Amino acid sequence: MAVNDISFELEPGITGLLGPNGAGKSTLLHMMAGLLEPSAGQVLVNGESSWKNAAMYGHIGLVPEREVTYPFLSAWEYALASARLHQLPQPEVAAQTAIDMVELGDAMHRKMRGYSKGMRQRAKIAAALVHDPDILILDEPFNGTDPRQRLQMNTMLKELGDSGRTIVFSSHILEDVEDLAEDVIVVIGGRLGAAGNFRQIRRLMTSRPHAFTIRSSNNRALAAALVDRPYVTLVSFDSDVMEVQTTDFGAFTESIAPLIRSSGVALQELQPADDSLESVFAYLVAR
Amino acid sequence: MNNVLISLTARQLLGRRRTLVIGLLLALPILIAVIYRFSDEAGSGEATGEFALGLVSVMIFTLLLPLVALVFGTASLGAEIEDGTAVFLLTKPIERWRIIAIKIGVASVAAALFVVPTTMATTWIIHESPTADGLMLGLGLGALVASVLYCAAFVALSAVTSRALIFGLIYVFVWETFATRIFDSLRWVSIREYAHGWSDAVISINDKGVFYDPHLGVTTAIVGTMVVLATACAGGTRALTRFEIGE
Amino acid sequence: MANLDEAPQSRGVVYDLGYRNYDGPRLGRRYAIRSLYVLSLRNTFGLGRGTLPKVLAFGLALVALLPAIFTVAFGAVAGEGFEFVEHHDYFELIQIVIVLFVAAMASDLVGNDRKNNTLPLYFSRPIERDDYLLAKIAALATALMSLTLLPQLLVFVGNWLGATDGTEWLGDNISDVWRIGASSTLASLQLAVIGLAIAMFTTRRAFALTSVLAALWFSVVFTAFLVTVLGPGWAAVAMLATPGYAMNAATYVIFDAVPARADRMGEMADQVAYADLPGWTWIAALVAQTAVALFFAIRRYRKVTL
Repeated sequence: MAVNDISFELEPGITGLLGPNGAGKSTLLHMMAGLLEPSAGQVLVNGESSWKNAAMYGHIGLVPEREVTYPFLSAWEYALASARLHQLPQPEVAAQTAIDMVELGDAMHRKMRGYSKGMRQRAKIAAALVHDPDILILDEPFNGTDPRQRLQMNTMLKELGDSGRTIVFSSHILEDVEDLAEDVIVVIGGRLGAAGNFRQIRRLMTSRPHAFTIRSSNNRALAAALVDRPYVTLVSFDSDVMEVQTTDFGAFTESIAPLIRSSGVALQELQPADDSLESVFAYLVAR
Repeated sequence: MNNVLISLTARQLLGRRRTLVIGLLLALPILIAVIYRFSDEAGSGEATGEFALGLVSVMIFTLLLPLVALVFGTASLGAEIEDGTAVFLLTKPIERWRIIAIKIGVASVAAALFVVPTTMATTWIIHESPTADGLMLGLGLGALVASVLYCAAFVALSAVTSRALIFGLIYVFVWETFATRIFDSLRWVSIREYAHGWSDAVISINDKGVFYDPHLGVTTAIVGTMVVLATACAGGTRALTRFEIGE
Repeated sequence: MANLDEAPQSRGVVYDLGYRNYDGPRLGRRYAIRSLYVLSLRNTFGLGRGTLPKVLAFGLALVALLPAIFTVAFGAVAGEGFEFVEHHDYFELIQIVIVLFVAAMASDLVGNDRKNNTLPLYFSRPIERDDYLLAKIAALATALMSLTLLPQLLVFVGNWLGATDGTEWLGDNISDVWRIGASSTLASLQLAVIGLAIAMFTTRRAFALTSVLAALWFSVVFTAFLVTVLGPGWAAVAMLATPGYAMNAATYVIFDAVPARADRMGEMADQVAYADLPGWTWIAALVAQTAVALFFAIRRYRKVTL
């Protein structure tokens, strides 16, 4: 997926890269990791371009989404190989530390071809951590993890983030990002949807006007009742469909049912006009 | 660090199934040689020499050797790229030329390990006096050089395209087999001819016959060898530096 | 937030996102098979893929056509008497090109679906397992015709152009047309079935390629040497079992061109003569090989798990 006109800076701490599938998150992460060449603009890591820069891998750890493990190796051998390839002075120590951090100690001598997906994921993370990198890039690390693994990974990443590293991970699930990241970058359809502090963006999201379409036995009577409310900003008619816009999602949804009852109207259809992530961030982008 | 790369590559290349298939394939010329030995044809020195050269030249140099080198050469790097494990290697602070060099080295050793003994064994079985005229040694040398050069070329090719295997096959079977036969001057660009040139330096049979027909002198062969190795290393390194992860 | 007693949020709601049922005509199994056939055929020539597959397919086809093109050129210029290449020899001449084409295409046709896991997609449509296989075979065989039928037709045209009296030449040689058709069809079908059958048994594309190459080309080289040291009985067995030999021998038989002189050290035609078998045996061998390969392919596909 091509990305277009995206600029941002990453600081130490944890940043979440959020967006629907196919939005371009992997593209961005691969560019950061020097595995894709930007056709315009630059990607700088610690001031240097990430493209054609093999030396920078001493400071970066990448946990790709795809399979990068050798089935004939065990997690221990894999982490050890990684440590040796980084030319660490004490590869065994580094490998053991990494394995312990991802809690693969029990299974570390089994061949990875017999691992579950979650275990392979942890092996990947261990291999990416052996050299104690300043920057950690994780592509969809929560994919296919169960709640317990998710908790584990959360704790581990929080620890790493607190120690001053720059961590960026991608996800298409809001909750994953919510728990973990202070800053978030939202990417939709290859474009930047939002960037910055997560809570602020969340607040912006809930304060945007929401639209609903309503079909009832007497639209106009219902409309009269709605227009009275302060949080209703727009009521419009189109044959037998009524559209209502409101700035307070919570208040509207709380009161719509009693309102319908009291106006004596029979409700036939009530649905959000467009609640997709796209529309949310289209709104944000337009601001 | 080198050891890790070597060990990883070797373990991938010499998997059980692949080794078995290649072993079986290379047993074929030996089988034919043995059948020949026990048939009525075996006997006269000159004829057996020619038959040996013919068998070795056609079956091994034209067919099996390039194929074995192709298999090892494309698997060495290409399989890693296809499987995704190449990303593991490439996201390390290792010089790209080192990766290419080791991939080429391991593939060459693997290929040579199979091909050179087969060549020498086949020659030894067929010929009355294989060490005379430097036949066995010369063909063994040619096989070694060919293994290295083919592997170098195909490792470099797999860094450039994911379809290295089929294009490698076309190079071997259409270019080297046909095009060079039709247009003599094209022999200057043929790994097989370089290998024959090296063999020629050691073999001293005058009348080489229809099958074994080296066209290049030793100097040309050596120069050609250097060019192939240099181009493969440089080209492969360049391609690997600009490696982009696929869809 | 919401008052759970009042608001109907404890019941599930399915939103109408505009999805509509399709009420139109459904074209059924034959159409599905035909679509798969056309798609596979297009993929073989790289249409709908990148540039590299196109270069590969058209490049190989071009090389296969070269001798035929030369024949046409010489025929137009040099006149009669100049026979650049004969019909019955043609497949043997470009054998390796045809084999490379089959190897590359078969491994793609089958391997891509396995790798991308699109098989469940196909089999959840009105298409049987056998249909999938047959569509692929038909597509590959059709594609192969561009390397078998097309060049032969060109050679025919080339020779016709070179004839001093066109109509007379045509009268003499018109029977060659059905021979061209028969030999091309048989060869294309045989290679397509055997190629696909072999490709189906492996997962990796590289392995499939090598296996097909081994079965269709190595076998020829191996048998060629084997025949030079075997008696006529065993030599015949070896040649009958080798697809490349069966194919070319059948072509010789169809064009009535099996040489009288038998020489096991000579060309393929001479070796075939050495076996001293009646013509129909070679055609039967070709058909038998195709049938065996088809049997295994069908059996394999019935069993393969998604």
